[in-house]
Amino acid sequence: MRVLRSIYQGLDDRYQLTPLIEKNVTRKWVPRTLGWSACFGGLALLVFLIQVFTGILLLIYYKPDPGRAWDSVTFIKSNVPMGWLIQRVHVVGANVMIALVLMHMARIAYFKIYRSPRELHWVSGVVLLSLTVFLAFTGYLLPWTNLSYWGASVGTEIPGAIPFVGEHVVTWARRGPGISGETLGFFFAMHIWVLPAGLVIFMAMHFAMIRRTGISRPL
Amino acid sequence: MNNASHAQDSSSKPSDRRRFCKMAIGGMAVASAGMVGYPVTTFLKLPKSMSQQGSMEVPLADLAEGTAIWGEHLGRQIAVIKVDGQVRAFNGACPHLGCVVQWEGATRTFKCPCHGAVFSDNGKPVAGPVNAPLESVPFQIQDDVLRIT
Repeated sequence: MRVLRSIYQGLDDRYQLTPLIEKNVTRKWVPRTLGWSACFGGLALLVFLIQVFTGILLLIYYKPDPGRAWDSVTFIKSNVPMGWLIQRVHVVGANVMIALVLMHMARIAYFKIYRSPRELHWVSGVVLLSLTVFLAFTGYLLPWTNLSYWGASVGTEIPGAIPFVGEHVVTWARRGPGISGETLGFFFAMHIWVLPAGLVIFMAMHFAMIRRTGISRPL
Repeated sequence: MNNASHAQDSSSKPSDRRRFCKMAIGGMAVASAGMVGYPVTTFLKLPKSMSQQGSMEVPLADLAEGTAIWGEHLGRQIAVIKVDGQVRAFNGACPHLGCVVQWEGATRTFKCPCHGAVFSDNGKPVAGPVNAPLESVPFQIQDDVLRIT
């Protein structure tokens, strides 16, 4: 404990951490009428961090190859110690994350917090919702089960309803006429890199905007 | 609770309450760290099926004349070859600098991709920067299955 304190003291002397922590955490002012429903956004962030962490752990064993994907997920669930837990947390976390984002948005809509000057908070939030849903959708294919195959099959069919370009979008998203190993590789790249990176970028903007405008005060 | 009411509340020993809160928060932090740390460190352990390298098995029916079947045993790349009806097993690591050699069925030789060493089908060096033979690996054959243990 004393060692930790002296390490903190040394860092504090050099970088003045205490005023920073006081301003942002321990003495941060928030509207006193703020209730528990104001936590949904922060909880969604927490679940995202859990998803990143468990996702990295799963990546140690997962193989994005149609011949080996299912075997590798089964290996994680039945052979890797605590693998069943990490895999389950990742699966349940995806659902919880979507639920939390929707609850967060419901609150913002109900209390009309999206109004000026916070319109762009809402816009970036809608982008974050879309990215979250796409993350869940791409992740759903990765275990390469019958359910995930048909889930991806039906899901990628949806943009087919767009006039004129629909068919092209479907073929583009599937990397071919149907769900194949190419689709798996594409979804994998989206799932572990592209979408999370987009999520981080939009979260940074979302949080920076909230910092600038401050938390909305109830009417 | 704001600071003004806290100062007035002298009867309940705020220092005791503060200490209790600190200990409770610290205890919960330690418990949470354990709840996360235990499964995660367990997850990073080597799974049983990967730590026990066990034995390498090659069904002899799969091994055609003049071909090689490669496998892994105790971290070594093992080549099992069949020449003139005779089965042999070699450690694929070239005795020169440890590159894994390749079996060339047409010439019945092992060739090292790194520095061009060539070994005959009994592991003897025939060309290249090497005098030592390929290490031959002992095996048992039981019910037409070759086992290296």
